[in-house]
Amino acid sequence: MGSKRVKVNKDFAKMFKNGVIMDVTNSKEAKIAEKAGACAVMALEKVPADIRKEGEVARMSDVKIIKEIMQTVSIPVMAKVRIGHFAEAMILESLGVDFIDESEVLTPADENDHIQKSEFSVPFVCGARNLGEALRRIEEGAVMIRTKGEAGTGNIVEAVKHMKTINREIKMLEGIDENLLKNKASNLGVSFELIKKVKKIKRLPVVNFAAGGVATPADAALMMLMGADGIFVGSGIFKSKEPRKMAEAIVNAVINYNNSDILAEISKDIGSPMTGLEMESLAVNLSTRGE
Amino acid sequence: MKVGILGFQGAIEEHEKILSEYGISTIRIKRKDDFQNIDKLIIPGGESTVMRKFLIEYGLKKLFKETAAHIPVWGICAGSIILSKKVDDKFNNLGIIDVNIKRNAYGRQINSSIKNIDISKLGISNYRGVFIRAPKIIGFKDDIISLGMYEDEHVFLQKDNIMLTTFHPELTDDRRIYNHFLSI
Repeated sequence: MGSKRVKVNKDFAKMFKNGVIMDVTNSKEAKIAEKAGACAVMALEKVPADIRKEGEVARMSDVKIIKEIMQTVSIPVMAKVRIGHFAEAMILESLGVDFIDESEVLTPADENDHIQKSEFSVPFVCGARNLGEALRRIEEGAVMIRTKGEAGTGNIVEAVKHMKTINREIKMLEGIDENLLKNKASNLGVSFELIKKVKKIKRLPVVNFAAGGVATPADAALMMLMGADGIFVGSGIFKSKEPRKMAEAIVNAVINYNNSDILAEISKDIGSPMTGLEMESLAVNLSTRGE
Repeated sequence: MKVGILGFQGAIEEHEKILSEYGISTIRIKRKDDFQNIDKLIIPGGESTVMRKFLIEYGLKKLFKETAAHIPVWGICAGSIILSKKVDDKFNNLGIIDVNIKRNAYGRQINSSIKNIDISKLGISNYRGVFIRAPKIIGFKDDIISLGMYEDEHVFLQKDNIMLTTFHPELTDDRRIYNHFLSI
């Protein structure tokens, strides 16, 4: 992939900033998301909460459904592929989706390697729990990072942990000298140039969203306050009692994340959020997939 | 000088950073009070559907149009859609300039690109414009001046205080378009 392509893809991710990207499984949901103010939609076969319940292999969405979604909405359309499944990625690239999420929410296809994303023209977003994961994905060609959180749980605890971990690890680079930085780079399995850049700019060199467990407007505001550039909401919308209201409320919360009076207003009468799960009760931890 | 940036969604921080290099303060515009005491207004890149929705739902339509008509205003990509009176051949009730613009006219992200733009009317040569799922200007009234061309397409228009670019000057280190906007 040429450097112009990388730039234009990294820049595209900046257009999502301060926005909400919503998981949808069909064109009807996509339309609801667009009307509620989503800045993009993410097409997938089943929302994470259902994937979690069914315990079956989760794969890229049906191409027909992705195409319908692309024809239905005018906002960008993203879609998920399994970790390491570059054939699924090739299919999505040929469809012309705007962004690919190489996602731990689907069943991994490769236990060792991620997709060499730099070989594609289409941009990729990947999940990360810590700085090492984020930087390894960026070196593979990801132009956008999101916390993994723990998708489908409606529990924000893991997303908070991952966002704070990345922020703390970046902060910790501040005091260290060049030699230690070289060690750090080799420990994390990333290039010295990349980690040097992170140290210099004091943030990831790509757009960084929060994902995995956002279920309420307050959850979305919390992640924005922690420094997220924007929010992915998966099951949180279409597993809530009133998806339209919840979708609008979450977008409003991202717009007004630093105004608690308005957040209080937004959080009123929005129907029950999705049922949340405690981490201890989970049979599978999706976030440990793909390091 | 204080520049207001429509603050609902999109690449807002990028403008804030650049304007701070000039020593100019900025405010994110989200409600009526925010319009007070701004000298210029930027409608950033992002999703025009989102900006449009909240401009209307937050009751800002009238104030937005009045303000934009009186002070220098710059719409970038999605912002140029917001300011155009016709979008995809349909009337846009937020529009303040007689431009007909087509959304996502170059295609999807795979068709986004960096192109050399001719801005010789402003004495700007070798300008590289970043186009991201860009709209295309398909028509405009005679009294609007075209300042930039990519091949035979108009990508940079101005009429008095109103300026549109379908490309993104906030994503490069080239400050010449900013210099022009700040001089209006």
